[in-house]
Amino acid sequence: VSALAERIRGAQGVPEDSRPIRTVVALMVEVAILAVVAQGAVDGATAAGALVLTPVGYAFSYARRRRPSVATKLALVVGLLAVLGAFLRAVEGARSFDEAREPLAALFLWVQVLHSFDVPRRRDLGFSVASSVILMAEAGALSFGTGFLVFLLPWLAVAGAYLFLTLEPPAAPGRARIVRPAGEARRRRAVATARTVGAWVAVAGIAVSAVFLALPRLPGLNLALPPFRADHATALPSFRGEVVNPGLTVDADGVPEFSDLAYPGFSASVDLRARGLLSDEVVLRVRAPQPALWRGLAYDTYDGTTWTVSDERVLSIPRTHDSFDLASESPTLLPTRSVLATFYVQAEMPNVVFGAYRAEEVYFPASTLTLDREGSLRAPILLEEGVVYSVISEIPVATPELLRGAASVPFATGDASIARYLRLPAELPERVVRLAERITAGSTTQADAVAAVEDWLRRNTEYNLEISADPPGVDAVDHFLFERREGFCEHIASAMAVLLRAVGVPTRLVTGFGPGGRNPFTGYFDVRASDAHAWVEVLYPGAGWIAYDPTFGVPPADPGTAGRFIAPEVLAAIGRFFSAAVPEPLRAAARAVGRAIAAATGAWPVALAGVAAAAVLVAGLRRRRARRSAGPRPEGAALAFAELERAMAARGHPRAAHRTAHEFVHDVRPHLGPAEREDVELVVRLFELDRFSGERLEDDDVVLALAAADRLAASARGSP
Amino acid sequence: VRRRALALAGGAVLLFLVGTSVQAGWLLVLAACLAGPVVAGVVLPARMVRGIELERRAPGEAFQGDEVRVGLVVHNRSRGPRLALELRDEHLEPSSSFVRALGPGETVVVETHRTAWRRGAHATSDVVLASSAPFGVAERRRRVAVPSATVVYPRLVRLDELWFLESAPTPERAIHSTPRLGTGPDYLGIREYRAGDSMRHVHWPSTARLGTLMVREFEREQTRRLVVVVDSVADAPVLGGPTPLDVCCSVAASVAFAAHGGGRGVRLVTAAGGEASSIARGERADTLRWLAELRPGGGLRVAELADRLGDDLLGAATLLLAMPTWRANDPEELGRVADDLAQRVPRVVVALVEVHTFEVGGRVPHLDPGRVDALEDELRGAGALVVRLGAGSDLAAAFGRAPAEVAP
Repeated sequence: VSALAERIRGAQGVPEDSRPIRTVVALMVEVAILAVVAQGAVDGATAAGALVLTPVGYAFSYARRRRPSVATKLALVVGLLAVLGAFLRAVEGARSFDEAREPLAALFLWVQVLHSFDVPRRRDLGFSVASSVILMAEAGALSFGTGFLVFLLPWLAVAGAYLFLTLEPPAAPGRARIVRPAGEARRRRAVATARTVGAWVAVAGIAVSAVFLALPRLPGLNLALPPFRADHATALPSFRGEVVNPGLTVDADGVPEFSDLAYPGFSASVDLRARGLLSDEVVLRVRAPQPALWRGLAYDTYDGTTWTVSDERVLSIPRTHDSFDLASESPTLLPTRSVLATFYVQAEMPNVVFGAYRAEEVYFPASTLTLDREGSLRAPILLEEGVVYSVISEIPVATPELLRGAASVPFATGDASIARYLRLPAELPERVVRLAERITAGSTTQADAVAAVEDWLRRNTEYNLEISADPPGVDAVDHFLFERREGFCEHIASAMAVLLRAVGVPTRLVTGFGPGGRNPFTGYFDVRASDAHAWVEVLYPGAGWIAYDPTFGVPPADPGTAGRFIAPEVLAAIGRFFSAAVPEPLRAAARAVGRAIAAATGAWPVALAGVAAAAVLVAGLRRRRARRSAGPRPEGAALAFAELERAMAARGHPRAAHRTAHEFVHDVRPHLGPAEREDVELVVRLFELDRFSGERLEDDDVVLALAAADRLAASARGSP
Repeated sequence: VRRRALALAGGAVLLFLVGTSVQAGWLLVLAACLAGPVVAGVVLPARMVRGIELERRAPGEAFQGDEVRVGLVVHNRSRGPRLALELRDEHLEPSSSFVRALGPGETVVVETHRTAWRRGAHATSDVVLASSAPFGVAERRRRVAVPSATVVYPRLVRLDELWFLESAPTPERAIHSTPRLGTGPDYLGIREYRAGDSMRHVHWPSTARLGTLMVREFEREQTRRLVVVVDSVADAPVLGGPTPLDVCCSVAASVAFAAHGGGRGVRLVTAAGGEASSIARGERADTLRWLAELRPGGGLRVAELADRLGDDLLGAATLLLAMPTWRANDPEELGRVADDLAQRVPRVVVALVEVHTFEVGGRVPHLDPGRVDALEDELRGAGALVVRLGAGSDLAAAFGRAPAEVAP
């Protein structure tokens, strides 16, 4: 024990005496703890204990930095074992990392608290800084929103201060003493330093932004056990597989209405007469490597105003181990891309399990799920805030070439399961069929026909959320295609589905959510209520159902290299912001300038001349600035003195800025001959008289000074 | 690029990997926050070392081991502040000082105390100006020419009483029986002026009396001269202290000054460029400078140097040989050399600087303690008096009293 104690004493090293350094380190740790606590990752007692004890620990450690710390270290070891034991007890039975996150956060905090009691050296403070980085990373990983910036920005500020302060070596005996002259230099220094620090912050900010934009967004690991949990689950009484949308209301005519969070498309039917707007409240946060359409429900039957499901039978799927296995649903011959998406429910939602098509495996906090014949999943609980589930999907990578090949395989004749996707209302006006035939007249394959219809809709219809109600008794699709040509996603998708059915292509209408906007900081796709969406699925023989979105387009199944970077999204968002803020005439002028530059850079001599002109302009501006900063041109004796300085500099004796004229004479005297000495002294004497006596020099004296300076200049050039 | 850059970049990579694995966007932001300063920190320090003027204030001379004050006058002639400046100056002793902030146009003096560890003429030119502000991830350096010169003399120890001078056994052997012409202080007579005679020696009363220019003649100085021979064949680097050659020079300087103080003539002899080199009758400053500039690698071993002493031993009452115990100084050979020297000089004293007691860097060929004992025996056998000096020996104590067997 005594040997160990000796060793510990020996390892003490030079204690850190700098209070500023200790303070910024303590602040870094405290902000990081606050960030973790703000994410709700630890209970109140742990949070309060960590927030109070950590500063106490740093103060204790500072006070005892020069004393032996054997007893402290032993106490800390005991404390460490205790928190480790508590952690192990807490994670006993946890099946995933997600379930261990709270005990892990508590463990990190307590280790940090214990560590703060024994940081005598700068190196130990460095460990504290590393620990605060880990805590910030933990808080960042748990954070859903941009509110984390409230902690990140101050933490970065104190981290920058730490990096700067630790540039100074630790205090050591015999250090240099800095002697500063008294005066106003302190204030000037402070102002100039503040300016420089501002410039540093700007440069660092640009560098951080550039690195952030350059970082690729790669697919994550498919964890062995993705997160799924429900803090509060409202079980649906006597659930038999039906869709329950608690916020949905109907008007006096029995037509469903849009409300803030309730989308009429999440129910047993989609009524195209429904009107209204959804709120922009975030209802889902999706952690996924790429954007996708989050599919909810699908409908096979259209009656002129409403889409429904013809066969309402559902299949109950039991949970095997932790997940629901859906892989037995009709396979596809296309290549697929595996995508794990975790959904964090933020508001009350219907009992529909959303996920990218085709869901293969679902991790959901319920004992059973039901699957209808259109591949839609319903849960026996409502999706409420706090529900987390994960879906592993195999998204078909469908290129036009593959789809053309798939379509060459004919459907089985008289296949009843296909017929319902081709059925049209008996009252559908004939002009709809004729329009479909006209649009697809040149198409040789099913894929071409689908592309032609999608293209026609994009060119000939407008997206508009605020349209009037349809007149009674009309077919909603016919009215949309031939009368209004305006509508929202339900109308556009229904039109596509009907037009394709009219030419023999099996389709169904799908509702769900659009991908949502990816928050560049959190990485989550923030899905808002207003992202509720409808699109079309087209059945290809052999390939299965392929999604088409004639309104906004389907995100590519394989995002490719460009899709792995966030910079285009961010730059586009910035562009949109500025474009919205800049008036149109200016935008037009900027576009014209851009076109001119593009044209000019095509001709290299013009580009070269442009660069040269810019270089000349910059050089001119710099010279002008230098002249201005140098002050007015010297005259009279001052001019003679300036000549003297130049001459002496040419001889290798430049005047240091802090040397006075008199000191300068003293410096150069040993290097001069007698005549030159006289000239130098004459010039300096007259210069000092002119500068300090307050009287104007006689012209003869000025001539004398200039003549002496000329002689010195000639001597410096080596000429008589 | 400093270690901190690697730590930040490593942390950024780790956060990026973890962030990607768990698809946590904030971890990518944190990764960028760690990597950004690495990028910015490579560029930003460049400005901090520009526009700085330096001047060094160092003493012109110092004695080995002295602590001297060296100041650096730092002037910022730029329009922006200069922050976190490190000044690395190797004049006399490597020194590093830190200036946290220097405002535009501001001048500060950085005062340091340095120990003049190394003997010799130190002519230093450059000061390295470095800054890694603001993040400490990369350092930008600039060399600024700041010429300075300081001569570091060997350490001088006051020796009041030199027993080996006072106790010369046969002083009459040191003085010639018949006076000889020379430049000594004793007056011998007058004669007619010859071309080349100094005007200072003109004897004006005789000139006036005889009508022709007469000058005084002096007796050749025949004081009991001390000859100090310093072995400069080699030296070895020592960790933080004087080297064996430094100790030899210190012995030579201290003994020479004590002898001068006692009115004795002193001649210093060493080997330089394969030849014997000496200085005699110089000013004290010249003696010190000669010893300060004495460099190892003289090209002659002690035995070879002794053969070439020749006229250097004329009039010598005592010969002091200051020599480190290099392996080249073979005991048997030196025994014979000492025997020969004892025939020519009444008293031979050898200051043996024991190399094995020094913390020398690297392997140097020196005699082990047993061979040093053998060397001492050989020297004593030849009639020489031996003083053994180790690293850190007190010269005053070593030379202050005679060994019992030689006490008068």
